Amino acid sequence: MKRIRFLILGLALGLALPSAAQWRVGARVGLTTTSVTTENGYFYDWRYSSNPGLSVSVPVRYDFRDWFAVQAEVAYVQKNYGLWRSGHYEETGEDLTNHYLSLPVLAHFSFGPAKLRGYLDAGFYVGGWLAARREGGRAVTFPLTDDGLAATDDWDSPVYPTVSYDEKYAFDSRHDNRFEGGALVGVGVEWQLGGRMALQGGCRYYHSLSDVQKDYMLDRVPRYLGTFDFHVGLLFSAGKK
Amino acid sequence: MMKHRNIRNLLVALAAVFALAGCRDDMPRMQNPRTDVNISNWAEAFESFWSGMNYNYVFWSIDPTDWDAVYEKYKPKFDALAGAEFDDPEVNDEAFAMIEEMTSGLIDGHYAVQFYMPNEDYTFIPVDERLRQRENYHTSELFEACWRETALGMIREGRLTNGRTADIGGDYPFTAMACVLDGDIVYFRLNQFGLREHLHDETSKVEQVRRHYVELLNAWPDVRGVVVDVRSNSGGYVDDLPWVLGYFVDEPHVFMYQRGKSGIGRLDYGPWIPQYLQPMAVDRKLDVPIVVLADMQSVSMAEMAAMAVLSLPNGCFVGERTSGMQGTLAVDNEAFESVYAGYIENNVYMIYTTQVMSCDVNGDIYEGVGVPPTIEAPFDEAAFARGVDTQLERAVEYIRTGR
Repeated sequence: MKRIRFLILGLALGLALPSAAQWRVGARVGLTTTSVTTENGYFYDWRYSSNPGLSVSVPVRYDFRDWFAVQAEVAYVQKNYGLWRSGHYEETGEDLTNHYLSLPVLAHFSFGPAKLRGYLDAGFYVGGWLAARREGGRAVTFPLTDDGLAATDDWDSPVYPTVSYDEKYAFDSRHDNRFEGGALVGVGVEWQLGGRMALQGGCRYYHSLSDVQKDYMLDRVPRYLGTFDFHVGLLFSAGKK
Repeated sequence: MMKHRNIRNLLVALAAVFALAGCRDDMPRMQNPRTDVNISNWAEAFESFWSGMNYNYVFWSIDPTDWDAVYEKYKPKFDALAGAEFDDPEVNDEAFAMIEEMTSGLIDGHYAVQFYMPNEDYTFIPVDERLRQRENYHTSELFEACWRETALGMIREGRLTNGRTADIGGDYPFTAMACVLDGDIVYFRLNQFGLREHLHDETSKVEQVRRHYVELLNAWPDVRGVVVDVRSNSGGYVDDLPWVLGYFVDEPHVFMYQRGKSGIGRLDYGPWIPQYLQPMAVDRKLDVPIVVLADMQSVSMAEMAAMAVLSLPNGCFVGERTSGMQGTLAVDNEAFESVYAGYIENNVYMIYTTQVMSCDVNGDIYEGVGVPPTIEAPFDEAAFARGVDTQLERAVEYIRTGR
């Protein structure tokens, strides 16, 4: 509740800036790739992999100067990753598709000529882990025939096939930390098109400072997400030039 | 001047972001307890044991034990014993009493712990005590003795006919029997799931009993019901299940679900995975009641067999609530690599614990409490003394009446 209050306050402050300069609003889409920072300890052959995802955001920017602006966004970001075993058990594991709502607030520094300007973003974000889906495979414990037919009395080669699954991830309120917060940096270029429109392309890195798990056990092994977001977007000037 | 200020502002913003980016929790130090060979006193043993359970026990999502509170309470007590090594029997007694105390509430029915001390091996098996507290408690040995006498009487009376039996002694005595009860009920009893070791060996008495059971299912005329008797069955190989119950399904049949760990954390779980009963070739499909008889000494695989029968549309479970250990496990450190949970052994202690958690087709978990019967029929020693197996008679009544 406290976090939500801070979030609303931050957004309200952002929206209450003086109207002397220029407002911009736009839309962006991007491709994401997420890595997990953690330790495997003696669970030797678990391997986290980065999986691709999508992002869509609506940025609102207020230009104080030609080189400095403050930007707030509402962003949907997929932070997808896989957790698979290797070697003999390589069919065991799963891919997680994670849907996050993020609210970044950042400082936007730009430089270069008026037509094509480079920029650098730095800021923070808070958000929520909305939903997730898990898709993977696990071996069964009880034996089956390899053809799925009825076995005869001389059956002597049971198999333990890997069963595939694709299901909604059921959050455990004791375990899953659905709040996310972190820092972000980004770089890109902005091409001023005719009229009030600008085309943007860039890369951003979301560096999570919150574990995806709650602090629910002693000697918890934390897991942090880091997400690169490669995006393009359009910005429209809303105020006077 | 303006440019310098811009750069300064930019650097300040970046510095703030990067400074905060370092605010992440540290990773704990982890030692695989299976390779922990540097344990020389009870303080170190406690750390290793507690950590081993912390990362390898599979029931933390449903277990009432507060494992963090266990650490806070017992860590100072074991630290106080750090000065003594393992050759002081009094210290060993005191320390193992604490191990018993802190793990007595663990829900895992398979859980047992053993500490190898110079003066003796200390062993704690909490399920034994839990069973002793049950109403109408009886041992498997008492049941076995009662059943034998009564079965012999029923053979003499001509109620049990066309039978074959196997009775193998040794450390793990194996009793199996297949026969016809009252002329129209196929009766199959086994006191452990060890058929796998005898399959394809035509000279094995156990295999001969199993084949006779299948022959009865295939050819005995006018079968009105089947009784699979796993009372006081000590469990065994999961591979045995199709050879006992696979004759009653036409295709792989989901009879339960299991889930294991999917990470290091206590609550890191994979999804529930369906477990299938493999169909076995049979000359005819019997559309008759299938009754499993089980009791409080029916353990592990015997409980899973009861769950399998309960999942059949014509299945019924008569008897007592089972022991309360429906997971699977392998007694080998090497098994850790297959599921990343369960059994731990090093040169100081052994933890006998389950690798996966099970639930029935309705999603109900019976770990620690036992699978409840469809029809309650308690062990009745007095009736056995009169030559009456009341549980078996209740199964017959169900087959005859459907109630």
